[in-house]
Amino acid sequence: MSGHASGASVHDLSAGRGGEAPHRHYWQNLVAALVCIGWNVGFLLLSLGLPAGHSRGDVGPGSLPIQVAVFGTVVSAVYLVQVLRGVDLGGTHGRVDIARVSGLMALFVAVCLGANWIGLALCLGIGAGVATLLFPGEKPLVRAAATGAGFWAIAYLVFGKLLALPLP
Amino acid sequence: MDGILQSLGVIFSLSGVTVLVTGALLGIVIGALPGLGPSIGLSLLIPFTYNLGPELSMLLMISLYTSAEYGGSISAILLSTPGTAAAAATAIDGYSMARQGKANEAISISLTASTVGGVLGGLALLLLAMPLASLALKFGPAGYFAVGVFGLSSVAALSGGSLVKGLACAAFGLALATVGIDPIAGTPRFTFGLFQLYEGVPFLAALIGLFAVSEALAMVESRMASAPSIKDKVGHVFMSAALWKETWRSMLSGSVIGTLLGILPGVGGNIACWVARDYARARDRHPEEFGNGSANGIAAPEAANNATVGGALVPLLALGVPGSPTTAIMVGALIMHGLHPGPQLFNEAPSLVYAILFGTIIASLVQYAAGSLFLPLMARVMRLPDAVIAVGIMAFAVLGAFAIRNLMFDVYLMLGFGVVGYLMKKLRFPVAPVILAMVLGYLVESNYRTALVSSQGDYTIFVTDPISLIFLSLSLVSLLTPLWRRIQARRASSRTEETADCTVR
Amino acid sequence: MSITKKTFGARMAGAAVGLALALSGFAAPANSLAAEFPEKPVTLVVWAGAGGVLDTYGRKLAELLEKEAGWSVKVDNRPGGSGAVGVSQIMTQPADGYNILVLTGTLTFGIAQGLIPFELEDLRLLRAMQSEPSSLAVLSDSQFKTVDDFTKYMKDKPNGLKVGGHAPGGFHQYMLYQLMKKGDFESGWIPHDASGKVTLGLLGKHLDAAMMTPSTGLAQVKSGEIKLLGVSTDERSAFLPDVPTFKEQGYDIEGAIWRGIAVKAGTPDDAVGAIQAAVDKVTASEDWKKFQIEQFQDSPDWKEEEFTKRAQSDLANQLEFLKANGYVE
Repeated sequence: MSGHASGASVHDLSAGRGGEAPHRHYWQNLVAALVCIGWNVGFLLLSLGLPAGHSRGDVGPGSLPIQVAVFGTVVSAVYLVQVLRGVDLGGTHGRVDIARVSGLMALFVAVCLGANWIGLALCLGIGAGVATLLFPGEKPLVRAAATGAGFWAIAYLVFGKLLALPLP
Repeated sequence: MDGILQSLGVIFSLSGVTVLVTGALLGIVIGALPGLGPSIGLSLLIPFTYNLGPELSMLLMISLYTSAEYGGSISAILLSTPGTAAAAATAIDGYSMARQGKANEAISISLTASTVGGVLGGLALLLLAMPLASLALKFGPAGYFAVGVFGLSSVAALSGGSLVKGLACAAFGLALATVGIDPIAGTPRFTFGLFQLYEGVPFLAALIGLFAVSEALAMVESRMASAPSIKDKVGHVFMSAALWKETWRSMLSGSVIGTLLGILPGVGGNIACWVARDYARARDRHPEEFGNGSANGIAAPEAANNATVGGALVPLLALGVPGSPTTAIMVGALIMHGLHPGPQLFNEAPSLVYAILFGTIIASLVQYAAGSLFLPLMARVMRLPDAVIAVGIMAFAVLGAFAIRNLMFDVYLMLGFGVVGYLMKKLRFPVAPVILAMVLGYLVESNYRTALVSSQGDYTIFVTDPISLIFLSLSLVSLLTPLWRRIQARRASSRTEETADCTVR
Repeated sequence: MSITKKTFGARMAGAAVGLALALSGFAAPANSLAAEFPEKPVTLVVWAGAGGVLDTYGRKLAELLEKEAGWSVKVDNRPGGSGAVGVSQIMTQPADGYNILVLTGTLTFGIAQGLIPFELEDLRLLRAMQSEPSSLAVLSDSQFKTVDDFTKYMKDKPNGLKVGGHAPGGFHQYMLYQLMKKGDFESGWIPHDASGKVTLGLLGKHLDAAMMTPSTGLAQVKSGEIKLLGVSTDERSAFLPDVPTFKEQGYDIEGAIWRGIAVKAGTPDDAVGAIQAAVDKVTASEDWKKFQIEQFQDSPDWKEEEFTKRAQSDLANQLEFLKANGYVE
């Protein structure tokens, strides 16, 4: 899916959007590159804090993490250089609908938090129903009720009863 | 000979067929549900097998195991949610194909390839169990390490547009793979005092989050009222002759890779699917189609993950040692019947051994029939509006993540991965290298260090061990070939390559 | 979504236990002697995933508690965190005996290594019901015929053999450490993350010797392909009458990895008494004895006092072993 996505972006760009694209993707890639460097440097610092190994011949718990962190830092640095040199590495074109995306996410976090009080099955049903309202479409309320009831039933009957999972 | 006839008698009896069909139907459903895989499915079956004879319970379990490996691809194709870890590679091309309105084709390729893989894996088990088992014994820690490196060498191919982004993702995945209790020294690493992380970042939580939740989040943004193009009717399961011609090579290579990697304990389908996909891509005349809905990108991994079933049974029957968590549960069920797996079973209970051998092959065929029964249901799923599908992905992701270990912690972790996956998708970072590196990171590290402990720090073990030497050389070849091709292409046609590869300046 | 049609089939497999429990639950209080406990279904919290050895034991125990004691029992798998998830699950529940933890001897290793963030005193260890020894295993064509041969060789060539087994810093390495102390030799340890891989390592000659549970390589032990030089039981095991113990070869080593049950500390004595009485019925049953033989399990049957004492001394010894090998500071 992701491979498909990046593949598509390449085709789009070579098809004719080439001129304006770099400006669009410059900032998002710059931020991404900095986040990558930050992650890898942070990981390197944590890895360096790991104790040495104690078996004969063992390279120790920190060995691979350090190597991975160094590799990651180098790759991220190359990434940053490419971004700064103005290479377009692909990115999102359209506007990000922060409200809906974070709404959906927050809703399901709320579902998990609420599971402790009213049970996961019920919570998931309500959450699923409400979540469909975030999407455009006809008869949103009917759809919400049907979806909610459906997923409550699936969670409660299939996962809770048949598979005997100890749902909270 | 008596054993063979007796076992065939059991398989083709009414109860034998019932058990096979039940196992196949259950397996497909359990495989399709994210978070529930063959091992959870089998452990749920255990109480039920008390009352069946050993032959019937083995048939039931094998049938469920095989079908679950196929079932994982259904949700991978329709919802971009790999139902099992071994279906992760299928999600890439399968979902892409489904979004192009070719869901039916994708499913029929997956079902056919799974069946072919299952049958060939079963044949390998039937005919070659002993030589394959002695091959498995040749693999020491150095050999396993080299196999892992070989798997990692396909990261470049999974990177899509930008190699540097793919490598950054691989580093991210490898870093995640080091979380948890150290395999050699026993120290917890990067767990921040959370004992939920001792066994590492739960792989399925990452998989579901990165693949499924990110897709649901992307769907909520889409302003269109209904699914854009999945209006395709799912009716038939037979692949056209043209498709057969296109994919038979991938199915064959996938089956061989799956069988071989299935034999190795701790390797199995999760890794075989990626190796098979990479091999098929390297051989394909149109490698650029991979990632954009290539038929071979479904056929190869699906043949491979089903072929691992036959492979995983090899060490079980030939050596009495389970080759995967799933076969370990089968051992438990056998012990319940007072039987212990191993070569002595050929004398003690020949009919049981042949029931397992033939059962593996026949279960794959039953799975084909059972799989086709689900097609109308799948068609209905695909006609649901986007809203319901996206919410369904989220709901199943929550339930599936919980089912991994019955822990809410895994659910939160999965949601976190969902956000990461969404951002990666927006920024055109490929997800597959993260998954691949997570799968292989532990295999590579634990065996690298075990090899060094056993050689007491002597690095030449990686060259003196023949298996290790072979696989390390193969990795080198697979790393250098694309590079070499790239250089060739660059020489040939000045700078067109760069435009295609690194996108426009 | 695709499941709805499958409910019937899944029900048979998945809810077989639940159904049986519900049915027997109604009949339960009538024929139970300890009438006060349990008044409601009891949960067995198994600290490992479904399908493993511990789970098999837990489910058999559940089955027999229903059959023999008339209880209504539910099995709840809580894997993760080297057992810490299971222990903390028990700790979040009231100390009333309705949540019984099914655990293994790795408890003391987990506590000693600081992986399980609780103390032994947080639990009441009620009964050890299964145990398995460790053994020193080599291939049958090995030059070693006795434990003495092995220790002599290792004394001459410290670290001269590839010795390994399941898990770093676990029970089997602990037994090797005991052998090292008694035999005065030095050996490395090659950890494996699954016991089956130890057998494969031996057969593939990637290991020269292994410390392992005899049942891990049962097929090969029976066929003679793998030879056990010594086993860590007190007396010769009924399952392996031909294998000499370490003790009879002059190495005073005894140890076993147990599986048993525990409840949260502070559980009242009458509830504990009722549990013990029910477990007595289980261990006395023919079904249980047959199960133990099939599973190649010894039955230590340590009651609370002995069990606790053993766990405490294990903890002290293992802490020393872990320190000596660098697993804890």
